[in-house]
Amino acid sequence: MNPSDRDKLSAAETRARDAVRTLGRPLAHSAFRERLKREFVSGTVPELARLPVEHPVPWYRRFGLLSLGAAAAAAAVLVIALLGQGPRWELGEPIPGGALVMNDIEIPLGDAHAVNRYLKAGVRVARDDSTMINLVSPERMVVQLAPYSEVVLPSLRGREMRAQVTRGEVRFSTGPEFAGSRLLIDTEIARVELLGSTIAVITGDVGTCVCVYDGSVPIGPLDGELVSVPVGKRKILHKDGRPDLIEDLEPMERMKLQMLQDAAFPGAD
Amino acid sequence: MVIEACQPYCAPWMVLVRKLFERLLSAWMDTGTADPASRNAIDPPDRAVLEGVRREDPDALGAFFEHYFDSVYALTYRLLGNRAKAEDATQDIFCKLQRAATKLDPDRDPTPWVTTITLNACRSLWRSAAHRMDVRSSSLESDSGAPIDVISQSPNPEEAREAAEREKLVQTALMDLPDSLRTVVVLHDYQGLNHKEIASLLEMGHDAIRKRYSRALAELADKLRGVWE
Repeated sequence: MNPSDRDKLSAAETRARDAVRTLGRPLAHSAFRERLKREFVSGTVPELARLPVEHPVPWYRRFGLLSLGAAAAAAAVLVIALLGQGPRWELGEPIPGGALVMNDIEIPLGDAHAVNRYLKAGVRVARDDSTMINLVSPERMVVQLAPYSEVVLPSLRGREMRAQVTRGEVRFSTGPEFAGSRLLIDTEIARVELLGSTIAVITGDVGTCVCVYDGSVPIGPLDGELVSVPVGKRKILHKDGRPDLIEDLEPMERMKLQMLQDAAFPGAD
Repeated sequence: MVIEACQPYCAPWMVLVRKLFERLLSAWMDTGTADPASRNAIDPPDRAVLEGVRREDPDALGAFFEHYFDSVYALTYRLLGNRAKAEDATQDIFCKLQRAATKLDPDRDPTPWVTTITLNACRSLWRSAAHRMDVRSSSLESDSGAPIDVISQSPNPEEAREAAEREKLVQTALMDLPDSLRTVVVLHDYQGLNHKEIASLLEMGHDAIRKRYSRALAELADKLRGVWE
């Protein structure tokens, strides 16, 4: 095929070409023409507001962007999955018998997998049996439930956490990962601010008793000022309006708290 | 034709001469020279005007403006298919010309330079997000579909009206072409530039321009098929 063959036009192409060739010369509005001429001669043609330029994306880059987007989405899913496996609650030691009631659902303690699946922040956990159990977030916190006790588990994300002791005796001991965090524990009438220590929160018909084994712990009524209670003391808040009471820890409670702390975070002060 | 008539009387070496002549002819045609009658090509302004433009002499600037305005406006209109956009582009072009006036070389024809600035102005408009949005929504407030004021070649009003109708259809078909194809066909057949000049303006290979032109013409013919029938 020589160049002249290649350039040979069909009848339709010839017509199209001639149609373009015979296009007239469009006339501009005379006002526009006059204005522009005036401005050009006087050197004052105004610059147009720049239109934002949208550079066309070539197909290969589009493909690249798609791959990048897919990779980013996959990475996000992975990160979320990994985050989902971040700090979590688990059963401390396997206990052969009994059950835990979580949000009114009874889960046998022998099925550790099921228990761990249900143990999440905000879950109301009750122990209606005669043995104590420990719920653990490794390196962060241990929550010990005495028999016939109930607690709403705190979230483990962020630095501000909230828990509730709704009945019975619940002990809390914090570990090194808890440093810098704050856990507010509410009972029916009291509030405890845990900044890193080992305490027991005991609720009953009389009121709430908070025993401080380690650190200094602000304690007070739900809607009142929290006052620090020093190490080795306990504070009793009465339901019937009697004044709060601060006294020494009972030896038995001190021992229980010491055992909890030693078992949970050996080497901690 | 002359050669063919003489062929029986010529010696065989004349066949070689004929072939050589045909090759030269074909090479000349290969530059894609448009029909001179259709050309909107512009001759350079007088040297005195160019020198005056350099000095920013108002009279020379006026003459320079008159020399190029119609051609620039027509080319932008044919490439952009819209009066408002053509006016914007024309203003942009003359703004750039005004800024570069003092650097003008009176010894050189400024027409290719003016055409390059015109093409660049159109291209930056095509690349603008606003233009793309217009095209996507196909609401191009296209007065490519509305009657255009053109310099009519016909004194007969009926013929002039028909010509205007045809213009509309052809301009619409041109606007349906991709920007790159429209540029080549408009520069070649409307502006009267040959493939070599277009290649130089667009900084592309001669062959690439010729292929692009063939493709543009084929697509345009396809789009205009309904018009002829």
